[in-house]
Amino acid sequence: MSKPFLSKAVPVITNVTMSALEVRLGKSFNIFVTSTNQGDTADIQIVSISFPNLTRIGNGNIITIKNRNFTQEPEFIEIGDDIGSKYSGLSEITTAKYPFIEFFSRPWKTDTIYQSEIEIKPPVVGKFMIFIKAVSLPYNNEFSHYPHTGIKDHQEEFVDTYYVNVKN
Amino acid sequence: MNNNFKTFFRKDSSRSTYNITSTIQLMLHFNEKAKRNPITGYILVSLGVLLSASSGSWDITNHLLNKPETFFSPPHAGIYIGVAIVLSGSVMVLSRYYRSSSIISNNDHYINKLIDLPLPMKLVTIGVVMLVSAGPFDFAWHSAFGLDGLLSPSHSVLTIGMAVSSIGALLGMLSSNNDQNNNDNNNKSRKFNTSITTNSSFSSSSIVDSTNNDDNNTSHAVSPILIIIGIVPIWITVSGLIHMASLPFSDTEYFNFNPDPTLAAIIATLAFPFIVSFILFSSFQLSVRSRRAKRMFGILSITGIVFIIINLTTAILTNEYLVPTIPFYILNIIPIVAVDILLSKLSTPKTKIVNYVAGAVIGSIFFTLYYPLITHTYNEVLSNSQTVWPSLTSSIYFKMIDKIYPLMVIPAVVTGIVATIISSKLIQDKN
Repeated sequence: MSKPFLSKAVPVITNVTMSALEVRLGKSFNIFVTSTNQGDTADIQIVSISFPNLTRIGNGNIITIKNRNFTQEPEFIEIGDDIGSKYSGLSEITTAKYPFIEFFSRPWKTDTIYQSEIEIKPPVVGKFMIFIKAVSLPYNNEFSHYPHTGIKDHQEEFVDTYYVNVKN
Repeated sequence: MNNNFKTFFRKDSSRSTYNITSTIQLMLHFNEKAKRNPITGYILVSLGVLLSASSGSWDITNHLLNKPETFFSPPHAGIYIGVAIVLSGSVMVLSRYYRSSSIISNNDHYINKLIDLPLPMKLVTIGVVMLVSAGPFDFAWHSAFGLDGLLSPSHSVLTIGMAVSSIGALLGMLSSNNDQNNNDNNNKSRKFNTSITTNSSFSSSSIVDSTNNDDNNTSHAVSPILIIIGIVPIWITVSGLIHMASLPFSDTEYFNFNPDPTLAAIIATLAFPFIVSFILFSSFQLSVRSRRAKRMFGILSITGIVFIIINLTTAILTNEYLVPTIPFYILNIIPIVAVDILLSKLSTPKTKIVNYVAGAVIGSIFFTLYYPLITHTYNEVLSNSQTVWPSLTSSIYFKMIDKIYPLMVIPAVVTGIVATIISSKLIQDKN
C-alpha cells in the first residue's frame, strides 16, 4: 500500500490594513486582516490577533468584531487561560499573558481566503500594540506558521507587530 | 408489477392516465398488505434505527472534521428522520396488536395493557420512549451547556433507546414470522381436514405424512433479508455504545466525560471482538435454524459486508485523507467470507471447534473492522502520542498496529470464542 499522504499547509497573512495609524483617546480604529493557505488543505488553520496592552477583551467595549467569513466561531482567550505553545497545539501548555482572538477555519482548503475586520477602541494613551500570526495544524515544518521569523509572543511563536499611536 | 414497469416506457400518451392509476393501485395494494403483515412495523423500527445509528456514526466524523456550529446538520437530520421512522413502526406494531388481540379487554387499564405486551413490543416501546425523550433532552443540554461530547446523558439515552428498540424489532420479526407460519399451517391443516371428509379415497397416513412434511419445510422459516435487517442495527447501535465508552471525545467546557485511557482500551479490546463475533455468528445461527438447514452460506457474509459499507460511507469516505485506504478496509471482507464458508461447510451441533475457530477469526479482525475511529482510542494509551488530526489518522493507525495489535489479539480471540458460545446458547434456548 502507498505511503499515507501527509498534509503540508502553508498559511500566509497576505494583507493587514489599519484604518488609522493615530487616533485620539476615546476614538476607535479598524484593522482588516486577510489570510490564505498556499499549501495543502490544513485540518485547521488559525489567525491569531493579540493585544498585549489590554487586560481583557470579553466585555465588548474595547474590541468588536465587525466582519468575518471564517467557517468557525472565533475563540476569545483571556489572561490566565491555558493555551498551547511552540506550535504544538495543546501538547505543550502555557498560560496566556495577554488576551487574544483566534479566528480559524476547519478545514482550510488550498488557496481559500478568509478575512476578519475588528474595531478597536484603545482605553489608554500611548502605543497600542497588535500581534498577528497564522498557524496551520498539524504542524509539519517552518512553513506551517507565518511569519517565519521575527519576535516571539507569549506562546513562543513568531508574530508580525503593528501599532497605533493613541493621543489625548 | 412487470406490466406496469413496461407501460411506463411506452410513448402512447393515452396510457399515461392508466399508468398513474395502476401505479397508485399497486401502491395502495402494497400498503394494505404491509398493514396486515405484523412484521412490517418491526421492519420499520429496524430500518429507522439503522438510519439513525449510521447517521450518528457520520456525525462523529463530521465533528472531527468540521466542528459543526449548528444543531441542524445533515447527520442530525438523518438521526431524527430515523427516529421518526422508528416511531411510525412502533405505532404500527402496537396498533395492530391492540386491534387484533382477543386477550385484552377494552375495560383493562392502560397500564395492564402495557404490562401484558409481548416482550418484543415491550422492548420496542421502551426503546421508542427513550428515543423520543432524548431529542428534547439533547436540545436542553445543548442550550444549557453548549456543545456536548460523544458521551453525554442525552446521547446515552438516545443510543440505549436505539439498541433496545432494535433488539425488540429483531425478536418481533422472528416471533411474528413464527406466528404467521403457525397460522398458515393451521389453515392448511383445516383445508386437509376438509379434503379428508370429501375425498375418502385418500389414505389417512399419506395425509398425515404430507402435513408433517409441510411443518418441517415451512415452520420457523425466516427470510434471510429479515435477519440482516434485524441484526445490523443492533450491531451498529451497540458499537456506538462501546465507542461512547472508549473514545476520547467527551471533554467539553463544563464536563469531562472522557473515559480513563487504559480503561477505554480494555473496553475496546474486549467489547468490540465480542460484538463482532456475536453478531456475525448469530446471523449464521439464525439463518441455519430458521431454514432447518444444516448449513447456510451467505447471511454472515452479507451482514458483515453491510457493516463494512456503512462504516466506509460514514467514517472513511467523509474524510478525504482516508479515501486512499479504502482498499485496505475492504480487505476485511476476506476473513468474514472465509468464516462463512468454514461454518457453512463444516459446522454441525457436534463440531463446536469449528464455531470456536470462527469466533477466534472474526473476533481478531475487530482492529481493522473498526478503523478509523479505533485509532483515537488506542492513541491515548501510547507513549509520546500525537494528536490524531484527520490528515494524520491513517499514518498514526498504521504506525500503531505493530505496537498495539500483538497485545490485544489474544484477548480478542478469546472474547470472540466466548461470543460464539453465548450466541449458541441463546439461540438454542430460544428454540
